[in-house]
Amino acid sequence: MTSNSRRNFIRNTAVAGVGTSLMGPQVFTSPLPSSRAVKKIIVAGGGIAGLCAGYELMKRGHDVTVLEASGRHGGHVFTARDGLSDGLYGDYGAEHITRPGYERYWQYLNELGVEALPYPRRKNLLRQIDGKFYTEEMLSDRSVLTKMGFNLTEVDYLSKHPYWDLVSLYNKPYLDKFTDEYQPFGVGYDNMDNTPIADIYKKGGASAKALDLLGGANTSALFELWRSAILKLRGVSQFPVDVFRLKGGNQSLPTAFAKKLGDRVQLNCPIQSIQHDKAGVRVKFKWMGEPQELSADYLVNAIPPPAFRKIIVTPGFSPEKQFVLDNVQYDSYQRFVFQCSSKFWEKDKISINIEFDSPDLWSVWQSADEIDTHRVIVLGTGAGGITPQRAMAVFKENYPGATKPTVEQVVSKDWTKDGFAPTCERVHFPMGQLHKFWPEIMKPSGRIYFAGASTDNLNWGMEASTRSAYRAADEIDKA
Amino acid sequence: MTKYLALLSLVIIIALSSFSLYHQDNDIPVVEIIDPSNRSTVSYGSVINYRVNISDKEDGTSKYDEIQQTEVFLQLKYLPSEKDVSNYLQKEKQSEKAFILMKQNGCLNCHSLQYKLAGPSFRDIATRYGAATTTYEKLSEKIIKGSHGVWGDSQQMPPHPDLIKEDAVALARLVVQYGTDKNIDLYTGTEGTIQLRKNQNKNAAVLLLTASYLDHGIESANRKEGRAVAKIYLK
Repeated sequence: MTSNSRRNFIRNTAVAGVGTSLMGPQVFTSPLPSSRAVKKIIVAGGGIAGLCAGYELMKRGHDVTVLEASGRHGGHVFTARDGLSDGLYGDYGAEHITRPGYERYWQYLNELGVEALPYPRRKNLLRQIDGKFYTEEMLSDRSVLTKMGFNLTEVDYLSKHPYWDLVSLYNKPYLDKFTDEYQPFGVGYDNMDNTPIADIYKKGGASAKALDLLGGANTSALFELWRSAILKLRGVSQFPVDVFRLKGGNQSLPTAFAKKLGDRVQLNCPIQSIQHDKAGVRVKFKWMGEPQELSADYLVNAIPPPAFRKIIVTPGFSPEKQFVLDNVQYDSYQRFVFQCSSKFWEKDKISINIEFDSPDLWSVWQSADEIDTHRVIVLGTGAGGITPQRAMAVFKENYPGATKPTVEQVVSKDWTKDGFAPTCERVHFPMGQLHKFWPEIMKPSGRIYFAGASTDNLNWGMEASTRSAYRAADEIDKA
Repeated sequence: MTKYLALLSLVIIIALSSFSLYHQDNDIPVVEIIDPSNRSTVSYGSVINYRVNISDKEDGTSKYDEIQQTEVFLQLKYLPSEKDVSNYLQKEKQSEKAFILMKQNGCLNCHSLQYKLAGPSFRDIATRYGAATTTYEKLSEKIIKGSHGVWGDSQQMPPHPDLIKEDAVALARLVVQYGTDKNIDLYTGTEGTIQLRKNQNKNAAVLLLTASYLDHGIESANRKEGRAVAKIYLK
């Protein structure tokens, strides 16, 4: 960056940063531009984490290049418009944000002037359980709950608390011991990493029905209690109902980062190899199919480990880091965008926020409702490998109202087939292995730093990305 | 009568031409391994680039990015000596059909041989269930009916109700075969970088590369697979 552009940038961001002091605690305010020496940094991956890290480093006056393998930036945060009518859109990737819970993310929305809208996708949820649909009122009715098989304590609890909060009945007594959301160890539960959380529920007196609902036979008790404690420490419920999305689609934030970064973001640049030593990094990549090489002082890897494994890194990582990169696991799914000609569910006086009991189509909800048209977008999530036509058939067959869903067309993004960003959110660490993943997953390796949805404590993708990107940028800035 | 026969002949000709128009054969994709070249020699532990060209009359060519990267596979098989190559290729023919089924059903979108993706690796599956007829039966049930909660509590494998039992068993066999063979690797994409193994056990002298692509057929029917093999010497 030239000194002139650096000055301009500092001036611009100083203005942009004015509003940030209104947001949340001090830790989530925007830092002043760094007075340290300008460093050269390559950011590998132009998803939300890579763009955020690039933006944060640029803001501090460093010389940044973001290399993205595909022809678009944003990665898994992908808002689709192609083929949809009336300016409608659908979020193929990221779903929603919470407040509180996404403090770093909200700070960037405020800083970059990106608007968030309330997203009532979890209100008045209809749940299909064993083939039958239940409203929230039904799931707080004592006779319904008793008939479903819950025991008396559970029926008492669920008649006063939401259905999704059953887990709190059993894990609440354990959570107060956690005081630092980034520290799961040393609070008295270290020996519970090999204990299934289902055993904690059983110990608390959970019924067979509750155990079936809560699962947890393969989830470490230490991990799950820590996860619940993070939510508690952030002031977030187990299933936040008041959620938000971005006006115009969730890709608006990565796009805002990319706009600030300008030509520092280079697309169609798949990285082939990374060499690193105590002095810096050297990256071999292709640009428009031609071999290129770039050297820098530091590298932020914002490519998810399953894709990062394909890049040769020399010298290799420590066994501890390699274990994390080889074993961190993500989920993946398919997002369906149903373009409908009307709000057909209103005739039936039911909610369109539905959780289906189907392996093909798991849930549907309305989105993009700020667009001025009679048409509506209903988003759906389901399994990879299913055709959109089959998902539409499942939707029509399982929809609980009398009116036929007015689906004009369905388009989808099957993330399991994506060549660059097939991964969504990190899943639970395996039983008995938390100490192998944490905090190793966050640690830099020499001059390579790590950011992305897997590299923070909670697996909520967009906030984990912005938090980890900020952390990596901050550490490099201060190095 | 003559007029009638002439008219009938015309109808038959039109019908036949329509038949040939709508029932054209799907061509087999042409697969070429460009790098590394066949019969070349590379060092143990070195890093090599690979490049595969795909050309299919119906789907297009990799040169113009018309081929989906995740549908191109490069299998690496380390063999002790050159004389094992023909035996291995013969043996591999028996699993060709199952590998095609694996591609058709998108298994490799969520599973890999040695790493966890959305689903467990084939190695983890083989370690847990072992190789036995009862294993194939059990796994085939999971493949057809779907599975949830075995490898973690958050991800489910969707059912594959259209698969017949025999095919599901063949898939299960291949999963375990891949999962137990420590001398095999699988890459996706028309190009990439391979970190070759070090010859720690002095038991691999040849690296057999098999590139393959299963095309999309005509309107998804009659899909055909193209393959190419390259033999690389390790020193």
